[in-house]
Amino acid sequence: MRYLLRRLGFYAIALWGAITLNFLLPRLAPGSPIDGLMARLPPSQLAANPHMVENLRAYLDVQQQSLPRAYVGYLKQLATGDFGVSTSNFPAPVSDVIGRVLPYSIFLVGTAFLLSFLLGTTIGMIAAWRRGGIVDNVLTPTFMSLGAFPAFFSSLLAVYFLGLKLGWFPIQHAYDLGLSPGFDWAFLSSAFRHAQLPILIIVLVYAGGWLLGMRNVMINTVEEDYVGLAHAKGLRDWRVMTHYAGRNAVLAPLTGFAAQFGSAVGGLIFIEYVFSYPGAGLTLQQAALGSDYPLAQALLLFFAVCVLVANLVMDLLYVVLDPRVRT
Amino acid sequence: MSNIAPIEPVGPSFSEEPVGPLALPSSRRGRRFGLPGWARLLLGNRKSCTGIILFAGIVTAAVAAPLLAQNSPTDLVGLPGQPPNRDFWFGTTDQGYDVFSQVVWGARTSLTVAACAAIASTVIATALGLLAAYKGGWVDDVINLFTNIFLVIPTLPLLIVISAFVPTRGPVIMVLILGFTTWAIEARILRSQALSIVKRDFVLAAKVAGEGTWGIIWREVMPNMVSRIAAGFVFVFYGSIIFAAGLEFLGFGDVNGTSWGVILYWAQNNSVVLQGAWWHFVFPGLAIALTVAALVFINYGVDELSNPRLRGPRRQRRMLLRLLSGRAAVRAEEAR
Repeated sequence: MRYLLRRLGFYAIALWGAITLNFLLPRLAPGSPIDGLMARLPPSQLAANPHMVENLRAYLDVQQQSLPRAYVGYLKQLATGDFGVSTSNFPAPVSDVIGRVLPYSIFLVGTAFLLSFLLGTTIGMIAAWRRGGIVDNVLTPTFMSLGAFPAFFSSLLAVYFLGLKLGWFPIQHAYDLGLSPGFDWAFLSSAFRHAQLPILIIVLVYAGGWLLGMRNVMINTVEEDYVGLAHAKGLRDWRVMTHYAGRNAVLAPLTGFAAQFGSAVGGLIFIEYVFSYPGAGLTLQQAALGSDYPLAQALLLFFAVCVLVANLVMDLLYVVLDPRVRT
Repeated sequence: MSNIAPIEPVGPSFSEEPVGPLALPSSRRGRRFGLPGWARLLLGNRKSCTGIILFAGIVTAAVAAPLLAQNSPTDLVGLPGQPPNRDFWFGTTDQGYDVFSQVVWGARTSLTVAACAAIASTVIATALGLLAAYKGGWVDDVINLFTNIFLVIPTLPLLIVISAFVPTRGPVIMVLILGFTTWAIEARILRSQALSIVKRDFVLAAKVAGEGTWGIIWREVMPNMVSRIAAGFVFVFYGSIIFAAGLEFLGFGDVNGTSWGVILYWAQNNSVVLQGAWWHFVFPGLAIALTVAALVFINYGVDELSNPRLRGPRRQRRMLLRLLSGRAAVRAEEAR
């Protein structure tokens, strides 16, 4: 219990730090963001969106206040869930935009990340158990090289070969054109088909990290005395591997979960961009390119909170898996 | 035993190899050229040797860009959308640029940006990590807090948002942003490594002798961690290559410049993938992947050198056997 409370305290501080950094970023950046915006926007676009400049002025007005007062105001806004108005989706509030794109990303990264964890740790376990066997010699290097490939290159290759040349998967968007999002069979099946290739890529890219982490720990675990004892008891080989060596070895790679998750969120941006998949990652990229600062900042904060929550879930799981931290 | 015997190498060089769990394969070739110890170690390991050769090749190609590429990367030199042929080895882009010269010239930008970013990141990480370890107390707490915050915020989204706020785009900005965001992991690792060093007697002695904080960190602690810092540098370099190319790919680089990420940006932006022009993204992507693979190989080599258990079962078995029976040594004696 004390362990969990301490972790919770740390997450509260980390969250505060992330919020503060988010608050300071626009104020630390050299020059006024609006200058950069003016320099980058074509005049035609400015003429087409008269509200955008107005909006940004209003948004930047906050910065005219003294720093502490602006900070308090910012915290108050966040506490009430008010992230401002998205300038690129004017007049939709940022929270609406995020609410619209979020389900896609959660579905994509949640499914894919779980699958890659299961696949990676299982293969890592078997690879270490039968060191130098077929699994270790073939799958370990395969997944390692897949994992070392940058996610954007893997997705481009997959789109070209699996999607375009072989035609196995749809290659653009989250669902077929002409459908509208809703809980009906046509939409859900289409959404599922469109998610297959992105999920496959995330799994292939991130399973390697889990595999290596699991294998490296498991290599030491298989030499432990209790594994020898389990063998001596006459337990089946498979059972010793999963329930004795595997169960203890999986704790160490789990601590890397948050870091992996953070990098998977990064990979998500590339993959959504390549697939024009309307999730949070693509929205962040579009918002940042289009100088929609309120939306971009809210998404950054949101990603940080996601990583924090992933951390917290891991801590809870750790308590379940490791009896030593329960006291 | 039968499956062990055939893989035992027999030769005069055998008895020269040091024996023990930390035994490192020595390269006699390296010794002849008078290379420093660490270089000999890295070249003696098969994985890191592969990585170093690969990386050296890529750097050579980047340096020799004017000799290798006949065409300028920024001139429209051919018909648009040509697949690889005799004139254009990597084909032409949908605009008519030579992909080969873009990749070769782009290597210069991409490698330089990543190297500078890795240096910046390593300097920050080393300074903060060692300062935290040496000072302890509230300094440690504050640095730890910053490290944790940067560890919690996912790097790529942070990079994107910072890029959005910075009014200009280009290599220098890229280096600064990357250096500012990627130091946290290394700082954490270096701090934990330095904790055991700062408690040693020679650090205390330096303190008693009246040396200042940075003097102790720079002259006493740092030299004992050079190998760890170098390994971290390779790791950050690897990350910087991917992050820089990724940011450029997403459109946050100088889109008029020439680098691997920018080539990919135009490929995606003009949706050449959907038109089937594979050469436009495969070659720059392969360049990134090869560089990254070279760095990963170097890192594996470093890891294997420091942790013998990770080495292949063959070598370990051989070493174990040698330790237990001394048979190999006997056989090597006989072979003489």
